Amino acid sequence: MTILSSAPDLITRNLKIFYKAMAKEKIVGGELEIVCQSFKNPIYQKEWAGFVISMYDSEPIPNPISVSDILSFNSNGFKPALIPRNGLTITPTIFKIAEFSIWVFSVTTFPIPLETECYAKITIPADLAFEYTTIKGTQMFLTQSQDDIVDGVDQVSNPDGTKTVKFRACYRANTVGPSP
Amino acid sequence: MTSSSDVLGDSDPGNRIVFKFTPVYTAAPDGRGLINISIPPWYNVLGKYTMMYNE
Repeated sequence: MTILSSAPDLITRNLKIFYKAMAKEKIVGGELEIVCQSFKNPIYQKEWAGFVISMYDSEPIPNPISVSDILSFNSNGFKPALIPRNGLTITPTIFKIAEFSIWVFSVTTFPIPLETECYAKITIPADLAFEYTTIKGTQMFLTQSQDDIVDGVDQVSNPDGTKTVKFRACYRANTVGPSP
Repeated sequence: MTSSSDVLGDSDPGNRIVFKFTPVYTAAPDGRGLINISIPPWYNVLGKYTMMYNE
């Protein structure tokens, strides 16, 4: 098979592939494999259903020949993307040993777009004392009412001695990634 | 359908998605034709974001 052209229609979300010289053994009942580059993986684990592959003839106005069942792409088990080392900084406000301090977590680079109303989770190592009083946020960490005091913080002490705090963030669509 | 990368949100241009299927018929006897792949709205195509963040 020789690809004559392939182009995505971003409005209707269809990828059209015109071809010639389909091998004779593939015209009826042969298995096809189509490899597409520059696709982006989904941003969370799920079985993404809704893909349909349709075959048409080569008439000026193509006639349908066959249509597939609804196909799905399974991203369950995919690994999370990593925030690059230079995309996250942690800065204490007091530089004295064994004193409590306000820590400033700054995340400047996310490797993937984020969904609105996603969650942020911070894990504190077991060898650091952690006592949560208030979490303040800016940008994507502002609350739904645009307040900088983060509410609904869920704090958990883990069996391995670490602690995690989790809260909902990403309420402002313009802070979480490219526009849809 | 499979991806060459198992990292969520991987947008590397080298990332490849493979569609493997067995249609009843693929083309007219002249070997020419058109394949149309309909893609769900939350997916990203060819470097353009079509993801609907609030879905």
